[in-house]
Amino acid sequence: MGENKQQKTWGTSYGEMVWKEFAKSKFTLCWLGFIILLFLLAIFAPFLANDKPFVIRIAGQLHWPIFKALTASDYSIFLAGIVALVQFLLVLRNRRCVDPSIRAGVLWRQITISVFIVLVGIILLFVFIPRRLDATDYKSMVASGKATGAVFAPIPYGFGRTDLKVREQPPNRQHWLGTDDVGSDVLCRLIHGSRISLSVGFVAVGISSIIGIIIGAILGYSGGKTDFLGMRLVEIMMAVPVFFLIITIVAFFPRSLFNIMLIIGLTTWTDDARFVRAEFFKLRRQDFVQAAVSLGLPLRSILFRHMLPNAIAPVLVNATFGIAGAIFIEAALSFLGFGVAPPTPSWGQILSLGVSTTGRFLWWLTLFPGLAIFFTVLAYNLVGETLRDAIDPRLRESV
Amino acid sequence: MIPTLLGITIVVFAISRMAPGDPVSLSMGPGGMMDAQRAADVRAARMKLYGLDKPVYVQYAIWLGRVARLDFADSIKHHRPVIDLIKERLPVTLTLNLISFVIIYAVSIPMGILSAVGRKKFLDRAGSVMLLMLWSLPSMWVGQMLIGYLCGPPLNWFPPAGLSSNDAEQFPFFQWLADRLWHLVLPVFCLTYAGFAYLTKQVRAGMLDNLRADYVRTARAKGLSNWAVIFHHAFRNSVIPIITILATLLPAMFGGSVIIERIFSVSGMGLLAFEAVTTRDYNVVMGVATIAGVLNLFGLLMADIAYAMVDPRISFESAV
Amino acid sequence: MSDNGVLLDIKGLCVSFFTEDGIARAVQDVSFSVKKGETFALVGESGCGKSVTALSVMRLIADPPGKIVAGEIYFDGRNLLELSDQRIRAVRGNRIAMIFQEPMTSLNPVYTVGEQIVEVIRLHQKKEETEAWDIATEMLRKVGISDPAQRVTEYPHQMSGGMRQRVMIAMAISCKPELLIADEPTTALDVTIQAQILDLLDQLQEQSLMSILLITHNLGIVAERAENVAVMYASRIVELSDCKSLFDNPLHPYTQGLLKSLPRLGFTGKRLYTIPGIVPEPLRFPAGCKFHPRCPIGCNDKRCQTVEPQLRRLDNGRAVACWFAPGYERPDDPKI
Repeated sequence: MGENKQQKTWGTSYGEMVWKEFAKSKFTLCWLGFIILLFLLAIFAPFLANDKPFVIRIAGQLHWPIFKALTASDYSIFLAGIVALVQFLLVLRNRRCVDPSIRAGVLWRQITISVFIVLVGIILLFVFIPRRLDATDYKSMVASGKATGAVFAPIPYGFGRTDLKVREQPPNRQHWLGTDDVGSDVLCRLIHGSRISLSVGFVAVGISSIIGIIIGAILGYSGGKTDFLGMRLVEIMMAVPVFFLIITIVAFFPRSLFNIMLIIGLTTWTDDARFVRAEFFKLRRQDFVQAAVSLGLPLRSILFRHMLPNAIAPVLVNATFGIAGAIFIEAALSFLGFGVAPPTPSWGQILSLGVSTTGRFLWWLTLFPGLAIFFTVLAYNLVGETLRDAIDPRLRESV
Repeated sequence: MIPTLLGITIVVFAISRMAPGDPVSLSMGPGGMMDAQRAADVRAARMKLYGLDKPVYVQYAIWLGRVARLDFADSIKHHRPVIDLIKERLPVTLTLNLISFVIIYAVSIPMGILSAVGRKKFLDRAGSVMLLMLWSLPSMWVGQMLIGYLCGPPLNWFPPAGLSSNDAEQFPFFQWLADRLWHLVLPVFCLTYAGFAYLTKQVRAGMLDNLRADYVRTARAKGLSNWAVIFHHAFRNSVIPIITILATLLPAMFGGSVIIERIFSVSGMGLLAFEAVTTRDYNVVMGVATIAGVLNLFGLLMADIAYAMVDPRISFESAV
Repeated sequence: MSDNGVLLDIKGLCVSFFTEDGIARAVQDVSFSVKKGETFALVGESGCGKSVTALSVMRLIADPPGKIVAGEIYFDGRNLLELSDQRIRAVRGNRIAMIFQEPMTSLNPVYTVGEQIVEVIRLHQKKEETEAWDIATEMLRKVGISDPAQRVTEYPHQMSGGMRQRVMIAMAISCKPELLIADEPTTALDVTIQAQILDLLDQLQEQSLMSILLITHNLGIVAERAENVAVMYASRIVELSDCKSLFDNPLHPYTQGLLKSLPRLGFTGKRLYTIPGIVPEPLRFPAGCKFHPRCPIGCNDKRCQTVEPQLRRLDNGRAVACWFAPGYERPDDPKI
């Protein structure tokens, strides 16, 4: 205990140096804030835009409709958000005060805490999961006086609700951003649509990064015949125009959110593979790798514990650009009608309604979702570029 | 080259066969009209007709043989050979893309060089952010906004759709050409701005790096003027990555074509692909995917050859 | 005015770099002169300012962030710092030439060696294309490259490091310069090649009475080849003297330390001597004498800690910047 107290700081870690460089640009920090705001929007979407009230008094009894109607996906997102937050706080707390020799133990402790939270969350899920769909029209109950004391969400519309009486209305006092062709409130759909966009971004990039890293590591490390054959495979993937391939796949397979994430992930891994392969080529000849090999360490340990942390920089940078790209592809697919099916909200889908079937230009259905896509993609691109310059300006030519 | 070509065909074929359902069931529909035995017979006959009863690799070989002769069967929707449809639509897409390419390269290279040579720190950073913003604009949004604001009343600057006005065939040549160009402005703009932003950034980054290189210092020490140093030495080295970018721009523009052609109702290959996917016209989809892949490969080959010509460190054999 | 055969005369040169983190005074008050036909060595560790001094002669300092803030550089009577851009370009490669440390990256990889030499010939001399190529081939032969007619059409990546450096030298001498600035010409090469390149430089100097300003950190080279030496430390010249006197009797503690740390034949001790501490960064120079934190004599001396000694010429013709050097002190010096 005494020894820990003596050495309070261990100098600046790589992550801290990158952060310091990154934080020099206040402009980019604002956009990072925007991304965090988007995350909060996505996590708390059911509380921001919902046609059920938080609390309502019916016949003298208090009911909590929103909480009763949360879906499994809502819960999973909350859980993911809490775990991410806890991890982040733990990392911050342990940053300076941990002796590197016991850092591995701390990491295990963090993982255990996260697993614990996930388990508790799953248990709670089973307790609270709604058994039936709640289709009560609370608003008419309030209007007709059957219920009192209702507290609605700030945007009191659900994304699944259609109301043909108010279709295609420009922005007005009831619907701040207008309504779409079936009467759903645009603002509500935008907020819920952020979930789709963000989740597609992360899952697709996660899939493509993992595939890219594994293939790149194996090719870069092996060299020779394996590398030759593998590179032919990579070239084939690169030779196919990606968007055409995605459309082709979408044509043949059923439409679902997960399919889209998978498809985007499966078609965009080539860049990561190339970067990791190039880095591994350089690292292979370095002494610490030779030392690891001579000690007889298993291949997966050499590749992923020793070499990979040194090669990860371009992958991280490419990941941020990849998220922007995945969001764009999903929006484009939804715009063309190949994305997620309604009533699931998607920014691209709202955009496609901008020109009605009669040829009228419905500006509110074009401007707002377009701005949403634009700002989100821009935010990730800006953050990615600043990150790249912070990590290593020499990456500018390749990434 | 050849293996990559084969690889493309394998990928396209595999996707079509991995899909749930098969063309026969889909063309037969729910089949509530026939009794079970008759339905089974018809199904078997159809499968035999399309060769679907043979093993997968045999099917692939047959398909490959037909593809080599550019026979992609007939479009289910149009009832015409797919290859005819592609022949009609391809020139449109190619024209659109080629014009965009030329514009992108013609404008980006000088802009990139100028911005690398210019000095003001703030303009540097602001310009970089502006280019990034341009790159982040979603093309479908830009297209739709342009149509909405520039094509309808009250402005009526550009036509909202198509490549020629309705009575274009009757125009004399120059008027026809002018009409064509007028229709092309918006689609080409939408295809160009993103590539322009990307290429300008790359040219700028490449020039900045090369201007700091040792051989530039040597060139200055020899007494060369500033322009000679920039163009003759730094830029000549920057050209190399610019050509490599051609390889990434091509597939992006093919993909972008689909969206742009849909928005502006231009009858090109992109629109053909879109319609085919929407109507589940499998033969067309596979034909378009294969042709697009082949064209892309051709473009990559051109880029590789150009690369070998420009960089003396690369030999021709290793490129091809 | 050119007199006593002085070719290059640098007076009070100050070069600073204006960066985000502050102003780095890379070169302060540097003065020395190079005579016609002599080899002058500028010695010091990395970061002491010797390369910056060399680049300043031809005004090759990158303008943001660097700037020559004071001083004069007289070449054959004219102040180079006052020349217009056009005039200084006429001097570069023509009357003053420079060769650099890294032959790998100092040649443009996309042009042949011949094209690069012909470029400088045609720039400064009115020659036809074919004549220029002939001269280029002749230069390659002069620097000892075998089969020059073939080599002249090759690319830099097809040559070895030593050969590339010879090409650089050929390019530099092709217009018969009066001064050759050699910035660490042999540091990136093998020891055997080093000797060859230095011999080549000697040979060329004899043939054309060319002066050489040799920048290096290798004292061994200095002892063999230079007539006069200036030792730089942390942006200033701390000792200036003829070569023999410097090695026989170094006056400045830094020079003494450098010479002490050279391994000698017959050395039987356990450890090599090193000067304690490290070279200070230009953004964080110590007050007073810049060497005092590492100096065995001056580290505790009040005057060394607060007042910086200027470079002064002593009676024997040598110059030094140290309060403790014999003959340095003058009656009106500050006493602490």
